[in-house]
Amino acid sequence: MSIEVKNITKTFGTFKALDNVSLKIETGELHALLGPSGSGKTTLLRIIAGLELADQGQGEVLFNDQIVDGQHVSQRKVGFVFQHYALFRHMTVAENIAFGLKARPRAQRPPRAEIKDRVARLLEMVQLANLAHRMPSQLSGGQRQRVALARALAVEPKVLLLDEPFGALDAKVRRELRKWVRKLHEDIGITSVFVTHDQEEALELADRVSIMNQGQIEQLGSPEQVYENPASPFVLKFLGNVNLFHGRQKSYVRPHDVVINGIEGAGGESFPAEIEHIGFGGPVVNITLRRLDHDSTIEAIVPREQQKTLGLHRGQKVSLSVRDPRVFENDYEI
Amino acid sequence: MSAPGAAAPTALANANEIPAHLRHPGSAVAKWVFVGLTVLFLTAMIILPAANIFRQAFAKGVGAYVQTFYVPEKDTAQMERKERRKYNLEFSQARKTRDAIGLTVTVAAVVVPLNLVFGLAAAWAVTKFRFRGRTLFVSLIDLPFAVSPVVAGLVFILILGRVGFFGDWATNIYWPAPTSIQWHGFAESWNPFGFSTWHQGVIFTPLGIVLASAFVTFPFVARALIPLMDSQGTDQEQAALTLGASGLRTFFKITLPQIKWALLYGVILCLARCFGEFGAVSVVSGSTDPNDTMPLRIEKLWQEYNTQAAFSVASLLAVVSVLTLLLKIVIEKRAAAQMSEKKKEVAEP
Repeated sequence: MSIEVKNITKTFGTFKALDNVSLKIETGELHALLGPSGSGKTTLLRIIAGLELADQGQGEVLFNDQIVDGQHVSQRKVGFVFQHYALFRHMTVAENIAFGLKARPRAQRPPRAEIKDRVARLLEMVQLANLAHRMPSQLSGGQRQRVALARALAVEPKVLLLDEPFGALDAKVRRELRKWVRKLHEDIGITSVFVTHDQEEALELADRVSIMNQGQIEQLGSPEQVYENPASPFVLKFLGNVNLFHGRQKSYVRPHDVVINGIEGAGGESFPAEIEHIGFGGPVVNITLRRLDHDSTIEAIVPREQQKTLGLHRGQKVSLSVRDPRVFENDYEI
Repeated sequence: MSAPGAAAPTALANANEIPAHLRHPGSAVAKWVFVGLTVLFLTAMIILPAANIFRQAFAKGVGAYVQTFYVPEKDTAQMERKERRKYNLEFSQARKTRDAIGLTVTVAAVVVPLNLVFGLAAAWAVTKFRFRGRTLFVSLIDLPFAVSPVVAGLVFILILGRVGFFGDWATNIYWPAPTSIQWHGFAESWNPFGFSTWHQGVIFTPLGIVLASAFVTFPFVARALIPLMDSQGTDQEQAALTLGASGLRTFFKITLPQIKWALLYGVILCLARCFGEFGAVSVVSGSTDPNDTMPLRIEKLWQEYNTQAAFSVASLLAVVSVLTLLLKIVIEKRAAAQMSEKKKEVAEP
């Protein structure tokens, strides 16, 4: 099912959380709402779910081109996974998952045996079959996350909405779960939207990404599009580290696009610099440099091999040149 | 108590046991000084007075104790005049005492459910919503704790009395005594019920006592719930709604099970206070015998130098207090037992 929001505005008191936002999410898409905190991404997700209402007379929400503004959250058939999972703590894992099915009106409620069956299948799917009778308090963060997902999927929702789904997990679990969610999405093909402030997560997982800032969508596109062709300095800065070069013109350069020649005065525009620090980063090294012709520091990432062949070391004077510098019109920032 | 209840304390004791190396060495002298002071205080202020209640109540034997509440009917025609007067007095005193107990229970039966609903509503409003004036609202819930009960009673008289703040409108209210309901059948009117006793006004009637008691005991349920409901937030309710549950179902299946022990705790405190409330009720009861609740009855018997009878009624209130305390312990144990049972269930899959 496709999701569309049109001209949504939402204010909390005097704070404008969403400012005339429009967005269309296609059927079967895995969409990321990416932005810093306070950018309005969670508010947008909650408005899609019906947990929050847009300002009076401001815009509309459509599921499959049908306006759902009049529908209560319990009628919209959305699966919602909360940031802190919101598992029912007085119920076992199995009872949590069965809740949505049992809550259906009598006419639509599946028979008891079928509910049990479906819960068992969902537990199988989220690989928690052996923990069916545990209480939520006895589960790890990753397990709770999967219970929350199974509970949301149990009611066979038409869309799946996830609020910071991996925010409360440690890095390793987060990476595993991310892959698992991607696979799950490919298996069941449900239209999904997730909110995150982690650009790496959004770029890796999503089909398309909306980058939000101050209540507006700054750019919408595939991960490649937004990374390769950022529409604004904000998007560029948000999608990874970036260096600001004050050369003949103001330009932005990603750390891996900084070239350290090691030979003074090589071709193109170059800047003299001194290596301040070399940090170990696995297959690459993170080099911090201080420009000698301008009061600023530059971050560069080079492969370890290259560092060895060039014999880069602390205190060394080098010259920098850049690949792929980005220049924006009307960029009066900084 | 049943086995699961008995299992709880050991489980809790194990969980709370402090490893030897972490225990504060402390000084044995300090320990005994503090324990001694506490015991001394408890003995002087609680245990001795409580024991004295029962000693005084049974000072004239079990027969006299029972006679405080019940004097069997006798044919007074054969009695001498002096003997008859004594018997009649004892008989009416016992009846008044019984009526006082009846009124106390009736008032509690009305007030406690009322405050259960109001307290729950107030706690719900404060914890699940954010609105303008919320802080003021929270303070208002605590107001009955801050105001002297006598003042509360006087306020009711000022609002609802004959020379009330808004005139004497409240004295023109007529309301039937619920216990006097009668079946008339459909011959006379469409309404087959009738009442033989009607009360006029609010102040100096049991209705006034209900209002005063409700005011004084209002904070107990709300206070027991607010910290708990505050800590739980609204996430789980919202989750239930997204899963298609109705508001009512969400309340009964998600909210209520998680607050039931706190709710029961608040209800018990509310009940205990309702039985024991003196100041506010004293003001609005008008000191007439039919409007006596147990605490008022105790005071009257005491004023009449009927010490033994006064302490006999007091002994009932003391028993209620002890029962409240026991109930509280049981409730806390049940809650703990429920938790540990579920843990056990999982430990052996």
